[in-house]
Parts: sequence; C-alpha cells; structure tokens
Amino acid sequence: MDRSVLEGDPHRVLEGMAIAGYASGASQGFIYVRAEYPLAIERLRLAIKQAERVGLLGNRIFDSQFNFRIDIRIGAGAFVCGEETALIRSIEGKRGRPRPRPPYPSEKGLWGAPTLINNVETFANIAPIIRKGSAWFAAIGTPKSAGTKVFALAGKIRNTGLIEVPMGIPLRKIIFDIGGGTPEGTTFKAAQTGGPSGGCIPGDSLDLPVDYESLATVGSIMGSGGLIVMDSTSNMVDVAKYFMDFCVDESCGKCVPCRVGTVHIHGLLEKISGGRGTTDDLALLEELCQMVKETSLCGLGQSAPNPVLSTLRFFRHEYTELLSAPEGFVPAGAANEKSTTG
Amino acid sequence: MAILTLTINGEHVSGKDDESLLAIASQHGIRIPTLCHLDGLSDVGACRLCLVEIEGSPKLFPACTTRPQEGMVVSTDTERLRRYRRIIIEFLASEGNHQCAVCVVNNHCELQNLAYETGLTHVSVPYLYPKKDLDATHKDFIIDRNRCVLCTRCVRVCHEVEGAHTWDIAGRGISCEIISDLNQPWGASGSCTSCGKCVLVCPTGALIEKGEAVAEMEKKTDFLRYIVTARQKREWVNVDSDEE
Repeated sequence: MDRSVLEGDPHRVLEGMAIAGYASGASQGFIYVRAEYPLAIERLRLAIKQAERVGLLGNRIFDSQFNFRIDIRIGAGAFVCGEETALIRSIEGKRGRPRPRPPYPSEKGLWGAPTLINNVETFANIAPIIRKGSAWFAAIGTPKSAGTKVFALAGKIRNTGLIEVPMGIPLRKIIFDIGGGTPEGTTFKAAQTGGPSGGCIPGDSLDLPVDYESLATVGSIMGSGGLIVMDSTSNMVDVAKYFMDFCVDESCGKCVPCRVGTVHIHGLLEKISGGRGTTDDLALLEELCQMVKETSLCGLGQSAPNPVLSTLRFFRHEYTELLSAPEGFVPAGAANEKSTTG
Repeated sequence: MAILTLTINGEHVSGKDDESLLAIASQHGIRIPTLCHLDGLSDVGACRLCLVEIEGSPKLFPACTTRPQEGMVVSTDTERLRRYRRIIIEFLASEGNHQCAVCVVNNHCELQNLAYETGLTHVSVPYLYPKKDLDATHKDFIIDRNRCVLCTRCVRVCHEVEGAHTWDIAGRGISCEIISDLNQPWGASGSCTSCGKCVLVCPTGALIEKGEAVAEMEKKTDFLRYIVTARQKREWVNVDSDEE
C-alpha cells in the first residue's frame, strides 16, 4: 500500500511529482501524509532534503527554468481527508470537510488555484513508465487495468503481509499460492477488498481476476489495496457492523445522510446481530443503505453502506438466521406444545 | 454569461449558466425543499433535501450547487426523491431533541414545515436522545444545541455577512456541535458583535431571543437579501463624495 512506497522508496514519489509539476506547469507540490505514519514522514523529509541538495528539487532543476518545491502536510487523523476536496481544505489549514464537486480541483483546488491531485501509487508509477515506456507498463496486467497492485493481505490466512501482483491475477492465486490458504481446519469464505468502502468477493468467485472492472461486477472496489480474508468461522454480520462502526466514527458530520444514517444503520446491525432484529428491521436496513449511498455528499458516505449491501448480497442467510420472530408471532404448533408441556 | 434552455418537471425553462438549478427552479415557481440553503449565503450542499434527478445520470444532484446545461432534463419531485426527503427529515427529527409543543418557534419552524411538506407522519428510526448543552450566557440570545440541525447557516452568516466568525463547528460525525469562538460560553465571546443575524437565519429553535414564550418567535431572513444586494451594488458607497 501507499505507506510501503513512502517508507521504502520516497524518491520515486518525489520524482513522479516533479515530473507532474513540469508537465502541468506547477511550481509547488504538497504531500499529505497521515500523522500515524511517522516513519514515512521521517523518510520523506530526508528524501526531500537529499533531492534539494543535488538539485532535483528547488530552483532551476537541472539548470533549467523549472522550479519545483515539495512540502509535507501532516494529517490529524481523519479518514475523510482522503477525499480530495477535504484533503485540499486540510492542507489549507481548515477543517477537513468535503465540498460538492464541480468545481473539481483541476478547475478550483488548493487556495482556489487549478490543482492536480493524485495518489501516491500513481506518482510512484510515473518515472518507471517514462524510463521503460508505456508499452512495457501496459504489458503488465489487463488491457483496462494496467500495471501492478500492492495489496495488504490480512485476516484468516497463513501468510499475511504486503504483496505486489500484476492486475488481473485470479483471486485463487493470491489466497492459496501466495497466502497459503486459510488456517488448518477451516475453508475460505470470502475476501473483503477496499476496506470500509469496499465489499466482499464470495468463495464461489475464487477465479475472479483481480482488476478494477471485475471487482466492480461483484460490487467491490480496489481502494487502497486492503485484502482481508474470511474463513468459515467469520460472521459476516459482524464484519459489516465492524466497518459501519468505523464509518460512524469517521463521518465528518457535514451532510445529514452520512452523519445520521450511518448511526442508524449501525444500530440496526447491532439489533440484528444481537438476535433482536425483525424482518421489518432488515427491510429498513436495506432502504437506509440505499438512501445513504445515493444521497451522501462525498465518497465516504456514498460507499459507507457497501460492506452491508455486499454481505447482504452474498450472505443474506446469515442475516435472516439471526432474525427473531415479530412481536406477538406464534409459530405453528407452538400453542399445542405449550398445552402438552405445561 | 449565456442563457440556457432546460426542462424541469416537463416544463421548458430558461436560466443563466452561472445560476444554480435551485435558483432557476424558484424563478419559475417550482419549489424544491431546502434547509441549509439561504438566499444571500454561500451554498454548502449539506442537507441533501434539494437533490434532483438529471436525465442520463443515475446519480442525484444537489440543486443548490449544480449549474444548468443546455437541454438538461431535470426532475425535482419523483417518488424516489420524495421518499429520500422524508428519510432526511426523519434523520433530523431522530438526531436532536425536538419538542415542538414547548418550542419558541413552534408553528414558525422550517424543520416542522418540512416535516409537513414531506408527509412525515411518524419516525421509523429510533430517537437518539443526545445529551446536548443549552448556552444562555449571552445577554440577548440563547443557543439550544438540542434543536440544532447543523445547517451551518449561523456559521456562514457570521463569517460571510457580519465578518465576525464567532460560530464554527467542533467534533465530527454525530457529535458535531456549533461552538462560539474556541468553545467559550457565548456570553464570553470576544468576537461576537451581538448583531443577532445568526438568530434570524436559524431555521429552528436552536438560536432564539431571550424573553420569547412558546410559539412567539417568528424569524425573518429578508434582511439578508437587502444587505447582500446593497453590498454587491455598492449602494452604501457615495462615489461622488470626496470626504478626504
């Protein structure tokens, strides 16, 4: 994931940014990095100093007319600051809250100026593509999703850690060849990608190629590259509840659907997982998920219901098994049973 | 600036390309429910009540921040939009402690009117009963955070029109709250000019005048249009005089 690049090869990102600055006519770049990544910050600072010392950053780069400075801005622990408009506001020193687009950052971004904003992974790819050519890059992966992707393999799997794989690799290869499969005595159930904004890939889709398009067909996303493996012991309602709890915490509170809707969705999940949910609660859960997805202001709210919708799609029975009978409902034969036992 | 023609709810309308869909609709007598929007303040697209459908896109667009395009086909009152608007009002009702019967703005409340308009008969989600503060330290006004819908009109009018920026937001998510200065009691605020604009633009009974009894206070927001228009047209600047 992005932290591994910032820690392992920060110069790659600086080079990519300088090239992007040259191409777009910018003279100032910012790296927005989480305060929770102190090693990344330390190495980025060192790398910027090194690059400035040898004239790869700063004024008159390679004795040309081109000047480019890079400064670091450190986040204050808000997930929503990954959303581009919130990130820009945070760099400006304001509250990290998203705003409606358009205008897009390319039109009106940092301090109102046209702004190019990209992910660490994107900038890290630029220099190798220029050095080796676009044909080399396009030859890796699939026609629509070129290149490689770094995943953080975690969960119920033998080998966890960071892996770099070509796009389009079948999920089966990641789980069993690289990950070594699920622990002894359990079977693979699902893989969750894209974190709290993503969804699940169920066990019967093990041959799904892992690329942007294929993930979209099962309702998941690539996201930042989190890949959490669940085995037969995992409870999918708890998985959905865990991610919703995260979104409740991380909602910035600006728009009503995300601020209040995530709380109610979490409450319904809590009720259902506690065995107190009814079929009406399940119907309401689905309606609220759809509503929050369609009406929220930014990507956080729009994707917050994804883990619920995804687990409902593939593991609906885990929800229905937890439902209690509606109040006043007497199952057939229960009255007889009472008279015989009582 | 160009004049564009578009269709709203099957009606052909025209509007300027730098106006919002909300403004164009309102000029043609088409009502779109709003809460965070107020003529004279910047738009933030936060309440999501003014979401509309645009033909050719599965997404919903906030009318307050969406600009028109030639030939655009807009629907403002579909079954889906009506349902979502009702849920938004349900969310707001469940989020605070809104007791209309004992509220100073009862019968003059925008949240109450929106509940009527969206046909809200009951709230299907549980009430959250938050424990929020009431601050009556200001000599003239009260802020009751239990009745706040976080529309941020007060924040914007104080920053954009009065220029004091007394109000801002603290916390995040469901624990967001409107605070004065750096979370000082309102009465101790050094930046507040006691102009009362925030009280007048507040859509609910969260910001009220002292001394008003239940259902007594009616808020007026017209003043904002006059101030903003006068500033834009520089009506208060005597360009001919040479006072110095």
